[in-house]
Amino acid sequence: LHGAGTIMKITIIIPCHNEERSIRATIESCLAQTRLADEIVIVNDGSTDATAEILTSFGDKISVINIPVATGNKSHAQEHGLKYISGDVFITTDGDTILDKDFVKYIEQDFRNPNITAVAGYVRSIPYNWLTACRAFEYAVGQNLHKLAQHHLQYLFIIPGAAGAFRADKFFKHITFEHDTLTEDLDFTYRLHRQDLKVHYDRRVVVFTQDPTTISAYANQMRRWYGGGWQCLLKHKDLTWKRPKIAFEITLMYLEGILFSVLLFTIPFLSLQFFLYFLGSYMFVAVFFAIFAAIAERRKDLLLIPIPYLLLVVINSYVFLEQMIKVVFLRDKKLHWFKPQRILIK
Amino acid sequence: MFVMTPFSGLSLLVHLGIISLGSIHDRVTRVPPALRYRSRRVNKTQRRLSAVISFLITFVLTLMMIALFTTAITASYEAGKDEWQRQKFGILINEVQAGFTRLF
Repeated sequence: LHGAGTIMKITIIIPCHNEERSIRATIESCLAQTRLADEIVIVNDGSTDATAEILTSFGDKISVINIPVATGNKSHAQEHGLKYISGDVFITTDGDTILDKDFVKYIEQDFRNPNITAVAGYVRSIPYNWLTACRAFEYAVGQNLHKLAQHHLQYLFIIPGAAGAFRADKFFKHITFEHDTLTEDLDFTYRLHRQDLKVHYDRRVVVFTQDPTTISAYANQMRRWYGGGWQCLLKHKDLTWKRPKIAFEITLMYLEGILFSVLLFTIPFLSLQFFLYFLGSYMFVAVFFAIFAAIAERRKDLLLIPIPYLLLVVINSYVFLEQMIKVVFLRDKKLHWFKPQRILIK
Repeated sequence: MFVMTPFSGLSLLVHLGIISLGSIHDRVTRVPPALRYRSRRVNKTQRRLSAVISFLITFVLTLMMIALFTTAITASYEAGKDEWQRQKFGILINEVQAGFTRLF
């Protein structure tokens, strides 16, 4: 355990697979920290593009672990890489993510509290098109309202895979890689709560990440997230019954998701007029939170989001119900990995 | 990262309430920011009380959501009684009934 004044060794671990368009910017952001990480470990998961050459160009500033044949799954690559780290605290991020310059500094400050086992950071979307703007809106609302409330409840639903940090000794003692869900970060978080380990939410710990830029990529990513969400909920259902706070939060989120999605697809068949009222009231809520998101993210373009976001609401609701049927009722256990098209980060 | 389930605003309102109460609590108890997440020691009675309160809130919220859902469905059914969708559905139901009658 590390109190104030003791030296803490911090490792950044980045699994990557064919990330030639973004990995350079990711590593440069790790090397430009105001508090440098003591170790940067990159797990090259069988990349077939120029990723390996880019990694070599950084010389001994980073440690590269090569997996000759791609495992095809981020959690496999992460598990492999963790065998080689020596830090007391390790930060997990992705090959398409840029760390804010004070990321490591704030992580170190947080872990000076010996009660904290893991820290969840704040994710921002790199601006690209209207779809990434919609995602920025979701992040702003999700992280400044839902997650902040979960922080006050002392039950954080998820530590994002792109912006998480863990105390190594406790992680290795309590968490094992099981590779049986599509969302390993959500699975970790459930298991940390199972052990009553403290998860801290720090909005100063910021990363900038790439989000899908096409509708099909967006829908596929939502399939993985919602599918993984249902898989983890089934896997840890006993935890939900045992912990009232978790039951409260899960009921609130999942029941609202189910009822809202069912309403969205049922009402148009019952009454068009009522459906327009329904959409109108939803737009009112969306406009209110768009203003909130625009202020929180300091982005004026988010004020226009309620209109295109309607389309994403339909996709989200459809995918949410589709994955519920597949995972909960049909017991589909597919674990296919999804990798969206990357944009060049400069 | 899994952001959130499709939302209608209800969970956002509940969460806004929790944030407000949490912030007031932190300010009233003057907990310094660095210590706001320290683990609190609670005895068995407090733990049980917390569990009962959480259960009651969850139960009431669940009932509220189901009531809202039922109201919305019923209201839209009533509003659409004379609309073409209902007529279309009516024709469809009649056809199915006629089909069953012919079969059996």
